[in-house]
Amino acid sequence: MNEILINVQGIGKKFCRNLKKSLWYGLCDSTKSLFGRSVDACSDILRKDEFWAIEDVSFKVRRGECLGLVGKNGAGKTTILKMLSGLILPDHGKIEMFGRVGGLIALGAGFNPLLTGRENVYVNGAILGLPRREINARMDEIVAFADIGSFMDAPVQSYSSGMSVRLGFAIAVVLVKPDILLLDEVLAVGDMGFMIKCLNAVRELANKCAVVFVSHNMQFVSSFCSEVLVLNKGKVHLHALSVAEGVDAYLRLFPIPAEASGSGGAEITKVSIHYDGESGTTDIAQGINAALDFHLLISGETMDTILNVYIMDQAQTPIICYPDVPHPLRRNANGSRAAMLRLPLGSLDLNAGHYSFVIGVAERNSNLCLKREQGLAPFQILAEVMQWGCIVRESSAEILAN
Amino acid sequence: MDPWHDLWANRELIWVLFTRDLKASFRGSLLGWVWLLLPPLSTTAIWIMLNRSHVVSFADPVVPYPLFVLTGTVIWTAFTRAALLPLQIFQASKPVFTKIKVSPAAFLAVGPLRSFFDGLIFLLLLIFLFPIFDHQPPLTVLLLPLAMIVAVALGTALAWALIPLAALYTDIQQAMPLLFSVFIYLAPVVYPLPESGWMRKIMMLNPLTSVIAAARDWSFKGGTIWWPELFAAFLLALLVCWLALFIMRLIMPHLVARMGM
Repeated sequence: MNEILINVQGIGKKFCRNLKKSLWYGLCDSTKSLFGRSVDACSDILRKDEFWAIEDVSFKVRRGECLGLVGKNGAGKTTILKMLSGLILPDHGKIEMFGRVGGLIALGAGFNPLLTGRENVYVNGAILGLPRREINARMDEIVAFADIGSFMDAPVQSYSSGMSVRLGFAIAVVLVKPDILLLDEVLAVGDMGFMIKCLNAVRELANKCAVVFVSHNMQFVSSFCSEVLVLNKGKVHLHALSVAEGVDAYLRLFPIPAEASGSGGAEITKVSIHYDGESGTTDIAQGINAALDFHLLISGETMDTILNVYIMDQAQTPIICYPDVPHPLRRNANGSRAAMLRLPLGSLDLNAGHYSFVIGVAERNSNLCLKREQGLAPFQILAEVMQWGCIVRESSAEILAN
Repeated sequence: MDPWHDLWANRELIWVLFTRDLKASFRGSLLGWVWLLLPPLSTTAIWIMLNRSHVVSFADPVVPYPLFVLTGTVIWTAFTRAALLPLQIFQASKPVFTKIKVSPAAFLAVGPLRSFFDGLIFLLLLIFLFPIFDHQPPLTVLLLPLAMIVAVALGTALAWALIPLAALYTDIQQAMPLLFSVFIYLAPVVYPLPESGWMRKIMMLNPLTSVIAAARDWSFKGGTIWWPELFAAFLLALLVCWLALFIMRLIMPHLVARMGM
């Protein structure tokens, strides 16, 4: 077992919603700590307009491990990183850090837009605490990594936003050699080519460190992290030792809203997934065959209707489309037509995550929408790892030639 | 850790930041160095005009009035620059302070360096102006940088002591120029130290008085009787600076917490 480099025990942090009060409390806290009165003594009491931005969070990270911090915006991820880097102090609990702390957090801190890229490397390097000769020694490496060509000797204000981020990242990743690495949403920088370069560099760096990784990108989280801490409103929602479980808990924080629209000439009810003789399944193993059951009722005069079914991902992006599903219906006594239908979905070899159905019924000729319902029969694809890609397919390769 | 030691440990960073700001301020401007000389020259010009038109009267058979005002202004400008710059630097560096663990002292130290540097340029100009006004300064004129150092130290002490408050509230930065426009008359910048009266008493309480008086003695007379006061002012400034840095380090996390993301 590797040594513990980060030990966080029951930390809490208060923030204040009111600016004037916040500043005043800052002044009070400052004065108190000056006169040696422990701020801790009365710190568990919330003053007016204060709230716990972080409450009772604990975790340990060993060398070689990577803890993913995930949660909605405002869940307190960045606040925790700030406490870890020692920028702010917890109002409650205690943090122990062993070793040199480095972060890929504020890329390009201290850049002056009027100076050239090369000059700014020295500025940023000095702010990161590196001596000049070390920066000199690694300058070529930085230039190569940033790969912005002759712009290196142009003023930074002439850079595109991507270029300055590239330079900032290059400096940090080449110069910072920490024991504890803090990453805040910095991997999705630059174009695709640069992003891959960053991922590789960070991976190499991360192997030797204890890493705390903040991201909203679950692909990054599942490819980097060894465990996941899901935060919700400043509290630990789930501390998952399996990444898949953590990612799942994070995704569950965002329920898919059910919504219906259309002229109302059709009704879609009793929607459920049918699998292995059972209806109403919500957890589905990756790659199995399932079907969708639903009851369709068309009340109007319309004879010729078109039925479309879609599987949507968490972000409501259509992933699979079942266009123009044939739907034989029986006529009722009152003139409407209806039937319980079963639509075979085929192999659900979707990436791990949360999905739901959209069913739409329209008049074929006029394209008038009779009914469109979204957020139907939400389900979840279970898999050990979240892969890169919408569809995950097992396969093997055969030898064609040597 | 001792604040002085902290500054020494960060000497490389201080130098990098100092040269960064210096380079940037000249690259982004058409007139460059001229901006260093214009403010003190304009102040001087106003007082020369007031003197010529006898709105204020000043008669010294030995010292030409323009030089008298210039020696005062050179010290005064160094003082005010040193008192304002750290506040501006702190404000501009907030994005760094809230994201990276750095020594704020290193950033603040750029203030006195820069004001001393600007002051030296102004001093050089002064030396060139002496012969124009038919004045042959004594050798002690070479001691003027010493007065400059004390003036910068006093300004820095004032600024650093106010930083904790200025980090939270913008009032300080707004009030400073206003205060200085009044404060300038409580120091013998544009007129000599009165021989007696309550005004003299007030001015004697001002540590800057001794610095300006000494600078004038070195420019026009030779020796000065102000050594003890000069020395006391410098020690006071150092003490305040030390205390301010010490306090800064203690309360920095509280300030960062209130400065936002």
